[in-house]
Amino acid sequence: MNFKATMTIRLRILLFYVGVFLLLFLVTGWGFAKHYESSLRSDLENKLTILADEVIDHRYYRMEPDVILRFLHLDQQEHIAVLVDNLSHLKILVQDRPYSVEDPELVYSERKTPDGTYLILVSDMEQIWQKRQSLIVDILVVFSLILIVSTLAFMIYLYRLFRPMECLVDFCKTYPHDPSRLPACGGSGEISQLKEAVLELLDANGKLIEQERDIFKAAAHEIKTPLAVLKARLSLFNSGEYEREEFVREANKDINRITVHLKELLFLKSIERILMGNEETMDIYTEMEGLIGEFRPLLEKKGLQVFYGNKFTFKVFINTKALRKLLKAIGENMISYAEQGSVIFININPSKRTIAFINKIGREEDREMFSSQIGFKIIDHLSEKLGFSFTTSAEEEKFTTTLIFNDRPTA
Amino acid sequence: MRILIVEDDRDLNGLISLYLKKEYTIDSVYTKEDALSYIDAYSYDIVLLDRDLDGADVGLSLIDPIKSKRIETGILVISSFGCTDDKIEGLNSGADDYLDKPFEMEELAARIKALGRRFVKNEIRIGEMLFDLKNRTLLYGSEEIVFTKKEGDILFYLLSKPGTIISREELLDAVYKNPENISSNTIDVTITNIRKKLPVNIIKTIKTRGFKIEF
Repeated sequence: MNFKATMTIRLRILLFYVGVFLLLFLVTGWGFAKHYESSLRSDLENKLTILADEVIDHRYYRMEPDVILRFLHLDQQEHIAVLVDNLSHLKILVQDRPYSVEDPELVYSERKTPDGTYLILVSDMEQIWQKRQSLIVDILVVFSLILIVSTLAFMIYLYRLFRPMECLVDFCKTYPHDPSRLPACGGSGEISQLKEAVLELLDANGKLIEQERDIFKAAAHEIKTPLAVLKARLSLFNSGEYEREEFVREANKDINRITVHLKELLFLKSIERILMGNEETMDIYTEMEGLIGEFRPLLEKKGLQVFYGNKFTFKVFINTKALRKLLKAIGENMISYAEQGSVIFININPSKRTIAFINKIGREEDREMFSSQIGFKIIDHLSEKLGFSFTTSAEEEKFTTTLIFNDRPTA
Repeated sequence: MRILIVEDDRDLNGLISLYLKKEYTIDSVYTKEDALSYIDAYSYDIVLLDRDLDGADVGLSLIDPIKSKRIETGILVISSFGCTDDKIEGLNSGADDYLDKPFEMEELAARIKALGRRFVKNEIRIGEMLFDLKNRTLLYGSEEIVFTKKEGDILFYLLSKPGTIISREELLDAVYKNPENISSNTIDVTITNIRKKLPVNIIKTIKTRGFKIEF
């Protein structure tokens, strides 16, 4: 399992929050420190200008730089002395040409003296950097505290926000053992929608499982009963209640009955796999023609004829693969048990969206086999899944199988 | 011992009936409705009950009427619904045993015998008297009195419900396979014969109502 798959949404949101917070901190912190530095530089420039004005006003520029500094220290105005004390590495230059050194680490102020020389006061940035560093440390401490507190608050909020989802997961894991836990899963609109969707899905799944269980339960019953009959017959034969010939005849009937039910069960299993296929548009008359074509050799062998009540048709939007298989099974049933040389009628009714197959049942035992309950149950089960209903009726020797399709839009 | 087979598969019903009839009195029905009318009409020691009748899982709904009629009736459910949940459901519904199809006839017979041992008393002791149903004999002190089959069956039925008034119809249902063909005078005649054999008259006639065992 990769990391992405194991990482919870909550952790992702939290990481995103911390990431955005750090980015904002870096951008604003950097901007703030830059602004602070430039304001300090501007302040330093102003201070140097004030000192330069003082030097020019008192004509100190004609003295040596060391003397000028000493005079400035002794200035009557106290603030001038303080300014000089606070400036680091202050250098005073008096020269014939303007200051030409371009050093970003130095700040200077230049004034032209009445003598035509240039008075230049230069200071380095050390103090500015120290102040900037101190500010960055302060900002870091404050931001870290804000980040820790806000992240903890956000974590608690996320925990509360996602608690209903965890509750829903627990509910799904324990379903259906503890359905009473569901009411605690109330949350935001999205969670409620998810809860409803999960419940609908569980409900649908439950119904499907129940349906599957019922159909296989019925199938098991249909197979187990003839097996019980066969075993009972064998017991009676062993105890001398049966003549050998009679036993063989009756046992063969039992075996045939079991074989039919097993075939139906296998058919059910095989069609279950293709039930997930796509739905397509199917023309009923064309489909019937194809089906009859497939059955032609069987029909000829039994001398059966197929007649249409009309040439009408209608279209259905359905899982064509599954329906074809089901129609084939119905057709096989019909042909197997139809009376030799009889006629099978197919009536297609577009207004009612029905196909009716009417055939004549051969022998009495065929009637019994044809109306095998498991066969009906399988077709009922599948028709429900495919979207049509299925009815049968028997009148004298005629057996009618009708498929009624829902009025669904075509693709 | 009288057994009712409720099984919708005619072949299986017939085969079970054929197998059991050598030892027991058997009635066979195929539908729930027939089963209800037989349960109402007769008194059974054991009912073999199929869960699935006419394609519906309705067999278990017969357990209540069977037990309401006679609590001593043993119920053996025979079913192709053989998973654990089905068995639990059947036994919790009041069945006394549950046999999954397909089964061996020998196993069925053994289970019927086991139910018989649980539900059908073969001996009843009342005071100094000990009645043995199998041999249809009554031991009174050192004296052994022998009864005929019907006499034994009637006396056994009366002794199994001491103090209760038992009607002639109930006795007919309990003892005869086709009671509708038997006159109630037959009961009176048999009771008279039993009284003659008994050392003490413990069977009292309650006018218009029936008989009662009283000491």
